[in-house]
Amino acid sequence: MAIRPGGEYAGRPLHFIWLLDCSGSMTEGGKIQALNNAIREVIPAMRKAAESNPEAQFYVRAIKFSSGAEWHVATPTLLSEFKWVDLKADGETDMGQAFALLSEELRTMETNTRQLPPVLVLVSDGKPTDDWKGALQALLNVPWGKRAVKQAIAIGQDADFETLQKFIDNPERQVLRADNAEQLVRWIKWVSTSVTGTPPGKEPPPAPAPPAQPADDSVW
Amino acid sequence: MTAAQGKTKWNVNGASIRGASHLRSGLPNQDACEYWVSSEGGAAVLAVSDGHGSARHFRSHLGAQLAARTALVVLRNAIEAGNEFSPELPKLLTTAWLSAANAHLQKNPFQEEELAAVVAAEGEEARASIAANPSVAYGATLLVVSATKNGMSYLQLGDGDIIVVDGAGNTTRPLPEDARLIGNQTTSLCQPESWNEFRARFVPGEEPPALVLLSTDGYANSFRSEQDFLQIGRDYLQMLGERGLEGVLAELPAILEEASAKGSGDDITLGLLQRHTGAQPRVAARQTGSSGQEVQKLQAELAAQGASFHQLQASYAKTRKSLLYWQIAVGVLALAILALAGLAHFRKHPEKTQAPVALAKPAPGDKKPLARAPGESRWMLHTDSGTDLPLTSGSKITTKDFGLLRDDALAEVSAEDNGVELKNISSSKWKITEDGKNREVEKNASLRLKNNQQINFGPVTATVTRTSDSRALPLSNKDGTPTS
Repeated sequence: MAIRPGGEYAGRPLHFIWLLDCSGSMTEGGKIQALNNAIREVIPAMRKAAESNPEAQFYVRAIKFSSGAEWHVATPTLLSEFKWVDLKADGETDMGQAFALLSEELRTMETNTRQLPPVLVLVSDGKPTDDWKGALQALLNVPWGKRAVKQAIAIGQDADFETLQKFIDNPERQVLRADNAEQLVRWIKWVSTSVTGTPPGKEPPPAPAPPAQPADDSVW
Repeated sequence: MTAAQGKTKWNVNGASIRGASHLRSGLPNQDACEYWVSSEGGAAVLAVSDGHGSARHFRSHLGAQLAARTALVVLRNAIEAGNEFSPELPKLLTTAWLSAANAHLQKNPFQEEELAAVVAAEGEEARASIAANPSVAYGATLLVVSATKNGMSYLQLGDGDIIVVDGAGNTTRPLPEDARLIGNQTTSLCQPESWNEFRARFVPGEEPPALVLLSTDGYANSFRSEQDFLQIGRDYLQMLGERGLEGVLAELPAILEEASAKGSGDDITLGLLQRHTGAQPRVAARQTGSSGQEVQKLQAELAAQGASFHQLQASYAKTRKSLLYWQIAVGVLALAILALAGLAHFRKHPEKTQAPVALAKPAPGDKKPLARAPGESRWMLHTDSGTDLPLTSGSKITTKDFGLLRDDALAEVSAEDNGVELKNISSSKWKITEDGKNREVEKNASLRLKNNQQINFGPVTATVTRTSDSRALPLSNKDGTPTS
C-alpha cells in the first residue's frame, strides 16, 4: 500500500459570489436579459481560465436583491457543474439586505489559511433603497468580508458609483461602468476570468480603465 | 527532570519540495529547513521557514534560507548558554535574520530588473515599500523548535504549523491560533518590530513529545480539513515506528510532491523531530538543501564557534544584557560565515564580494588580550556589553575587542587632548550611527570622536569618554553597567 500520511487531499476552496441587482429598473433597456446573457456566456471562459489554476477549487453562488434579498444559487457549486438560471427583475433595490445576507454567510466560513479569500462581485444599476450603510460596515467587519477581493460593476449612468466604490473598499480598484450589453459582457468576463486565472495568493491584475464618460454607443 | 528526559535523545531531519504551481510558473522553492542535533543526541533544533510568494518578496527564497540558518545558530547558542527559554529569543531571531538579510543585500544590491519586475506585477507602491524597508524583498515566516533535557521551546512567526504527537499518537498544537492568519495573510520577519508577532511557548520539565512536526502552510492547505491534516501526526509516528527515520525520509519528497499536486500547489516543507531512547541516533544529522561539502564546513564552523562561545560565555556574559549582546554578536558572526560558506550561489558577482568586517582576514601579529592594562590612555571606549577599551595613540582595536570571536583589525587610534580619531583599517567600510544618523566610514578613512559621543558599530553601542585620571579605568558594576 502506498504511504500517504494524513486524510484526504483537496485543492484550496475559493468562493465566488455574485450580488446581482434585480430591481424593477433592470427591466429597462433589456438590462436584466443582458446580465443573464453575460453570466451565461462567461461560465465557459471561467472554466477555461480555472484550468491554469488546478490547485484552487472554485465554488460559485449568487445572491439577488430587489424588494428584499435572497440566494439565487444557495449551494456552493463547483464551477464545472455550475448552470445559470435566468433572473427576473421587479421591485426595489435592497442592497443593504444583500450585504446582510452575505455577512451572515461569510461569518460562518472557517477562518484558516486553507481557504482562499472569497471573490465578491456586485452588479447594480441604481441607488440602494434600504439602509445599506450599517450593513456594509458589518460586512467589512467580518474577517472574510474585509479580506475578500471585491469588485463592482455599474450598469448605466444611474448607478450609485459612490456606494459601489465603498463596497469595493480599495482605492486602487475602480467601479467598472457598463453602458451597453457589450461592455457588460466585457466587464463580467474580465472580473470572472482574471480571478479564476490568477494563481492562489495573488491579487488579480488591475482592470483596464473603465470608460469615464458614456460612450457614443451608450444604451443605458 | 523525569527519568524519561534523562535518557531522551533526538533524531531530527526534514524535506522540502518545490510546489506544483511553482514548477509551472518557474518560481523557485521558497521554503527552507535546517536542523541540528548535539553529538550525544540530547539536544536538537529544527527550523522551517516559508518565503512569501508575491512579487515584492522577490528574494524570499533567500530570506527563508537565512531565517532557518540564523534560527539554528541563535537557538543552538541559547541552548549552550543554558538559556533556551529566554524571552529574548524572538528579538534575537529577528535581529539575526535582519542582520543576515542586510549582509546579503550589501553584497548583492537590488538590480534594476528585479525592481522593474516588482513594479510590473504590483505597481509603484510595491517598489516604494521595498525602498522604505528593503527586508520586504526577503520576507519570510519562521517556525522553530528546540529540545533539551530541560524541556521544549516552540517559536512561530507567521503561518505554518507546529504539531506535537504523544506516544499514543494524540496530536495537538502547542501554540495558540493566530486569528489574523486567514487567506493569504501572514505576519512576517520583514515587518517592523516583528519580534512582537511571535507566538512562543516554553514547556520545561514535562514528558517530551514522541514527535514534533514543523510544516509550511503548503502542507496543511493541501488537506480537505483540519482533521485531515492533523491525522499526519499519528500516521508519521506509525511510519517512523515501522520503517525508521531513514525509511520515512526516503519516501518523504514523493509524499510531499503528491500533496502539493493534489492540494495547495504550494511549496511544502516538513521537519521532523523524533524522540528515541537508542544509544545513537539512527540517522546522522544533515542539513537539507545544502551540499555535503557545504554542510561539513558549516558544521565545523558552528562547532568551533560553539566551543569558543561557551568559553567566552563563562568568562564574560554575566548579565542578561551582555548575554543578549553575546548571542547577537555570535549569531551575526555565524551569519557572516554562513554567507560565505553556504550562500555562495546566491551571489551575482562573487568576484566583487567582500567579507564583512567580522570576517576580515586576521591581520598577522595583531592579536592582543581582550582587556588591556590601564596605562597612559586618557580616552576610553565604553561598550554597552560592559567592555572598556583604552584609546591610546598607535593602538589598534580588533573585532575581538567588540566581543566577536575572531581577532580582525578594525581601527587604529590617534588620541589627542581635544578628541580621538579612529582610522578604519578593516577590509570593508563601517556603517555607523552618529548622532542618530547613519553614515559610512570608508576604508582608511578616519572618524573623529568627541567626549561623550556615542556610536554604534552594528549591534554594539559604544561611548567615548575622556578620563581625568590617566591611570584610572572607568569602573564597572559587577553586572557590567557603568558606575555613574
